[in-house]
Amino acid sequence: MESIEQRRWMRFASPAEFYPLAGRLVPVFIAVAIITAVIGIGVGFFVAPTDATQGEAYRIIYLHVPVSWMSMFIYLVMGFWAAIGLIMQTRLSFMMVHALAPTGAWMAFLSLWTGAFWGKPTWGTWWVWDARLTSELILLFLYLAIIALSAAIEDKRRSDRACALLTLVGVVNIPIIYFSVIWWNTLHQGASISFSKAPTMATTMLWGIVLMTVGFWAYTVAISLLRCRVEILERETESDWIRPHLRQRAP
Amino acid sequence: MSIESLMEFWSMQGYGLYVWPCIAITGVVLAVEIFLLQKRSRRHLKRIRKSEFDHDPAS
Repeated sequence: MESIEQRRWMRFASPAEFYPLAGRLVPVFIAVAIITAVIGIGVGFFVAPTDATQGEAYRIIYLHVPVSWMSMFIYLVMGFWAAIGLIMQTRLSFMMVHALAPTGAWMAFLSLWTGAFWGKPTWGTWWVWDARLTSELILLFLYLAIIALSAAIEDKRRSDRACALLTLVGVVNIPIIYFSVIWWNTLHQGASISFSKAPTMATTMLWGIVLMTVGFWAYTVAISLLRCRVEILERETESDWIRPHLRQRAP
Repeated sequence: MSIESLMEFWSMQGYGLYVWPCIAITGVVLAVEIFLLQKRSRRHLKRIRKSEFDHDPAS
């Protein structure tokens, strides 16, 4: 019984099975992303109160925290797929690593940008070489390095393995980013939301952040599924199963 | 909603200059990302269709 269940899921490791499935899932995630982002912006900008110490400048939190979380989370997901790819030799896992990297890079960029625009009014500077900011910058460079590496190696099999290895090595940076505000004396404030302590912020603020995070997560799933479809199209051009899909419009 | 309250919202206690560029860049980044992906897939589909046409003996 278990083996049948297992086989049912494993079948989606085949690009031919995954391609149409991803196409069906994308609209669902786009809908979730739009709905949660609209409500999240509404809650964050119209319902949530003004911060007692930072005034209205704090509202950047509704973008900064979700994109920063996503920049780290996407990397962990890439690390997961890289490990699965190296262990089980599944092509689709490597494709997921390639599909997620650009979105991760954009999220890290947005984290740094929104952080700079938050730092200027509250700290008086756009940038400091502080542990949290520097490790996030390293994360952006890691994403760019993975993208550059995949473009630099012509042979797909070698490129996949090299990118997966680089991804796995870089995973060490994620706990460094996350705990940097505890391990070092940083200008950056501590975690806004903790799983071990009672929330210190207004419930509506928390809801704004949670909704925006779900929105960015759903967006990430949608765009990386789309990118994975393009990746499959590019790699499987010679396969027979792809012929009928080529008649359809661009994914 | 009166003009004053709208202006007040826009100014964000003077922090508008910092808050709105964050919203703007986020929107721009998402739009650019979607555009680049669309371009990539269109370019590829065009290339395959062209090569298919070239190899088709009936054409």
